[in-house]
Amino acid sequence: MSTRHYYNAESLDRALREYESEYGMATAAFYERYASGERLELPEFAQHAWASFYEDILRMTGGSGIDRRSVTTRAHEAFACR
Amino acid sequence: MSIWKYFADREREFRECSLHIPDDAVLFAAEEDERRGKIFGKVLFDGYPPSVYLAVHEDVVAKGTGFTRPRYAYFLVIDDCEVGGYERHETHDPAVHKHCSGQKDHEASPSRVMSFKDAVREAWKYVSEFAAPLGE
Repeated sequence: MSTRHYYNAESLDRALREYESEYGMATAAFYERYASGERLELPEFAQHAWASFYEDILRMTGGSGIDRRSVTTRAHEAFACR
Repeated sequence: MSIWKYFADREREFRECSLHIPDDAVLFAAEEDERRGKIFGKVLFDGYPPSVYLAVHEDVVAKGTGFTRPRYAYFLVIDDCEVGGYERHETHDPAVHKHCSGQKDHEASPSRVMSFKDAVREAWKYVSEFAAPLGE
């Protein structure tokens, strides 16, 4: 294994966006149904990975998740608060 | 053991199990502290087309001098059909289970903890019986 690869909460969030786009459901809504034990008509592997990545993001961000607003928006808000 | 050694060992197991990683795929990645990592992606069966694959996800966490798999999923897919698989996920009840009774979709039943090699051995039985090898 010549190249070492790393991931972080932001890169996992990109995977969540892929799932959201593929299955037409927001991650929070999916996870609520998944965690409740509801049988969802989605591939089992996708459910497992989607939930796992989401749980990882929450762990890595101390429960806050990823702020998906654009960098420009966040920078503007930060600037406006000064 | 470093997480990179764990990944290298798993890559060797792929070859021992007559599996291979698609060209340009990245299956192994670690968190910054290198005490956690993931194996995530498709591994292909030697002699079979890319439509026959094992979808693999493992969360790998350092414990003592080694690593554990608090979450894993190994699912066999043949021609877009998820044939079945083994899973460990604390959110589920039971946490360790399988989806391969063949009786109905999305059915889960308890399972023992499966090693990667055992899961692959089971998958190969289905691949040999139901999938069309290259050249047929």
